[in-house]
Formats: sequence, C-alpha cells, structure tokens
Amino acid sequence: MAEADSRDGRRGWIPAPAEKLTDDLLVEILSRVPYKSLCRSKCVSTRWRRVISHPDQRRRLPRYHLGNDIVGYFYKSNTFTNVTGEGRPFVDPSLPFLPKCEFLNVVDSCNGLLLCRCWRLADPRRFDYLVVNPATEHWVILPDSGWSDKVQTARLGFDPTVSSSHFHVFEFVEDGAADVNGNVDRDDYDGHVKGVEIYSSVTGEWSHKDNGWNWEIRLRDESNRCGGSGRCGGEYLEDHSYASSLVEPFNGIGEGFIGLSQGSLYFVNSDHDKPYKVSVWVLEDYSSEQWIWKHTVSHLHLFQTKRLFFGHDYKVVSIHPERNNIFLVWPHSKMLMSYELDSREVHFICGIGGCEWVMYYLPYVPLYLESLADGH
Amino acid sequence: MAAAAAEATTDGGGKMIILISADGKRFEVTEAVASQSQLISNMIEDDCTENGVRLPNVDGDILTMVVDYCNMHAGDAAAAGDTMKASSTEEELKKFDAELVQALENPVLFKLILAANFLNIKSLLDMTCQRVADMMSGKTPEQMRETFSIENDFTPEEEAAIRQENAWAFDD
Repeated sequence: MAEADSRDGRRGWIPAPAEKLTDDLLVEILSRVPYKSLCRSKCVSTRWRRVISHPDQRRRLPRYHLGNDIVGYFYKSNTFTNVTGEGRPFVDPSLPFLPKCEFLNVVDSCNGLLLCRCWRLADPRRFDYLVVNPATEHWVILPDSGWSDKVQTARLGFDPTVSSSHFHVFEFVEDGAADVNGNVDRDDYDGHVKGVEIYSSVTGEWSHKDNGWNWEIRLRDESNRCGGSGRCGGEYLEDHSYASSLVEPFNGIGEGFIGLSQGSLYFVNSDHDKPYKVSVWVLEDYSSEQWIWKHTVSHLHLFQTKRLFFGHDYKVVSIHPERNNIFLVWPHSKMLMSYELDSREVHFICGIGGCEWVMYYLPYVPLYLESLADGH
Repeated sequence: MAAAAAEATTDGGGKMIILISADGKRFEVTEAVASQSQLISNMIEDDCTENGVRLPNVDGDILTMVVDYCNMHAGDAAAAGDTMKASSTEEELKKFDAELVQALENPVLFKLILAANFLNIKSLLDMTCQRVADMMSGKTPEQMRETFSIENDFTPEEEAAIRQENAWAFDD
C-alpha cells in the first residue's frame, strides 16, 4: 500500500517523470551539483550509487572519480579551469568567502591548500599571506613575515598524511626583490636568494634561515620549480635546509619541474645533452642525495613534433600524486595533456586557458579534512 | 492542412513547420525556431517535415513551453518571420530564462528535461538540468529522494556504510 501511494497515488504521477530519466540524464544533472551534494546523492538509491560509481562516468563526474586527483588548475593568479574543461569552475577562483582584499593572488597550491597574497585594503602596498582550503572554506591569516611589501617567491608545504592541520610557508628572501609596482631599491641587485623565512603553523611564527648553499642561487621565475624546490617537498626535509642535493646534479640547467609523487621528489627536465627529449628523475632517498634517472620520452612521441623548448613551448605543470603520470600544457594549442610513464600513453585531456607567458599552472586537489591550525 | 501549412512561406521567407504533440496539439513554427532542436534540424535537412513532425514523447503543455522557449531564443534568424516580434535582447532572454526555470517544479521540470533531451535542444537541457542541480544543493538524501520521488532501496546497513565512507559530506 505504502509503495503504491508514493509511486502514483499520492501525487498522481504515473510513473514519476524523474524515474524516466535515463542514466545519461541523471549524470547530466549530477555533473552540475556541488561535490558535497554528489557524495550525499550516492545515498539516494542503489541505482544512483551504481550510476555515480560506474567507471564510464569518470569523465563526466571527475570530482567523484578523480578522488585523490587533480580537479583543475589555477593560473594567471585568478583563473581556474576544470580538468574536464567543462562546466562551472570547481573552485570559484575569487575565493569569495575570504576577507576583502585590494587584490588577491593565488601564489601556490599544495595538497588541497592554497597560499594567497591578499593586498591590504588599508595599505595596498602591503599584503598578508593567507592559507586557504577552498573545499571547506577554512582559512588562516599569517602574521607579517617582515617582507610584506616585497613580492618574493613563496611556497606552501603541506602534507595531510603527516599532519592534517599543520603547514609551512616558505618565503625566499631575494636580493633586490621588487615591490608591488615592480620597483627595486637599488640598481645593482642580482636577485640571488639570501635566505628563507619559514612560517610554521605549529609555532605560529616566522623563523629565518640563511642561504645554506655554497653558491649563490637564483629563482628564475615561477615556472622554475627547480630552484624553488621547497614546494611540497620542503615539508619532508626536516631541517628545511633545501639541501643542495635537490639541485646539484642539475646545476646550470635552464628549466625544470619539481614535484612530489608517491612520497618521493620527482624532477622533470630537458637535458642539454638530450635536446628534444624530456627526462624524469626521482630522489628516492633524501639522504643519499642521488637522483635516479627513471624515464625519457622524445618530443616527437609527446607532441608529434621535435623542435620545442621546455618551459617555453610547453610546460610540465604537475605530476600525479599517486601514479606515474605527468601533466603538461602545450600553450600553443592551449591543451592540457597527460603522459603515463609506464604505458608511454599520451592523452589530450582538455583545452586550458593561458598562453606562452603564463608562467605557472597550479594543480588543485580538493581536501575535505578538519580545519587548519588556527583556522577560522 | 499540415502539408499546405508546411509549404507556406511567410513574408520573411522562413518556411513553416508543424509540430504535433503526443496528445495531438499542433504548433506552427518557422524552420529557424524549430531547428534549435537538433532532432528537427536533422529532419529538415533530410526533408522529412512535410507532413508535420510528430513528437510522441512530448505532451502539448510541455511542447507549448518548448515552443515558447525556442521562439524567444530563435534570435535574428527568425526575427524576420511574421510570427516573431523584434529579436529579443540579451537582457530579455536572461529574464525570460530565469523566470521560466524558476517557475518550474516537479514534475513539469523533469518532463521538460526529457523533452529537451529528446528534441536535443542543448541550451534548454543545460538550463533545466542546472535547475535540478541547484535544487539538490544542500539537501539531505531524504530530501533528494522526495524531489525525485525515488524509493530508498538500501538496507539500513548499506546506507550507513555509504554515510561512513563520505562522513564529511553529511556534516551540518
């Protein structure tokens, strides 16, 4: 009786039009709901659970299927593109839940958290660093590092498997760093790294470390993750010394990408000795300081054309956190691609905005965990 | 007669097409209006519209809404036709869409989705699916079942397991 009532009696739908929705249409709808609602909707019925979980929906319900995976990229400070290239951006890049800023830059992204510069309304020449979890809308404002009027390279270090709420922020103190208008103090600066300011959410304070290298080092630009090397890996180096091993074997090379995958640091570059090829290296044992060659692939295989320059004609934008996959952007065709090291398969994923001068694409993996240390 | 009407042309030169709903209601629209439906557009290309287009999956009341929508969105191409007023501005279109979609409730909304899908009118399908998605946002699974009039066919253990798996999504 009760069954008959709810099916057709009470509301007079015979059968309810919603029940006529094909799997395809159901996915059409579900692909538009917020991630949280999608996870809830798996509870609605066995059919819905089956439809949502089916591997064929990977492309249309990427947020669900990618799980621990990259859902999209931030670039040009305030733009976000889903990896599917479709639908509303998974994250509103203006991060509207944050306090009002004169201008907001997304500076770095690490395992679900973002590091942002929020230029102050009261004093637009200075900024505050914010660490933000867009998925939960939690955020923390950091105390002034003492360099809040200088635009210097900054990186976020966060690993939810080490600590679910604590993070580090690394700000490289560069000789002659420019202010908001691009002005520098003196003309004879050379931009070398003098030291690093490190914020720990455990202490809630910044601490300073001098350049521990035996030579002067420069951070070339945002695309050069090599020099930065703090990135997610910094968290793992307990003494935060940015061991020279990270860059030593590659000293003098022009471009490279460094990232963390499967618990190890990976380095991707195009060697002077092997032009038109991309090589992947891994530092499995930090104490050994030995980068191990892992893989080489030709430009021809990746792009069907040879004469391209790493970092200029194409960029490596991320490495899959769990698998042997690297992601590249070919700005000329505005295409995000993936390359699977084991199978040597190249996949064109989607179109992505940006152009040759977009220096960085920050991968974003949503993180639904407890609040940040000192979180709001 | 349908055939006569289908062959008639308006002053603007737009050929007219007769659409026939499941319950036999007839709608006369220009080709430009009708061809927003990819299904009908293909039929026009294949010259299969002479005797009117029967749409056995679409009721008259739903087809009325679809035709209204297509008339509004036909744009300049159809504006030349007699049946159309001056082409709608973007503002007007937005307002029309917003009002249309806001007014839609179950079960009309789902019928319209089915019609938009059958007729293959992408913009209408996008809009109506987005409306349902917006309605789902913030709802509990129970409320979603009610919206879709779906039976819960999980055992309590199964449902508890899924909730456990995605515990964070069930906060608040």
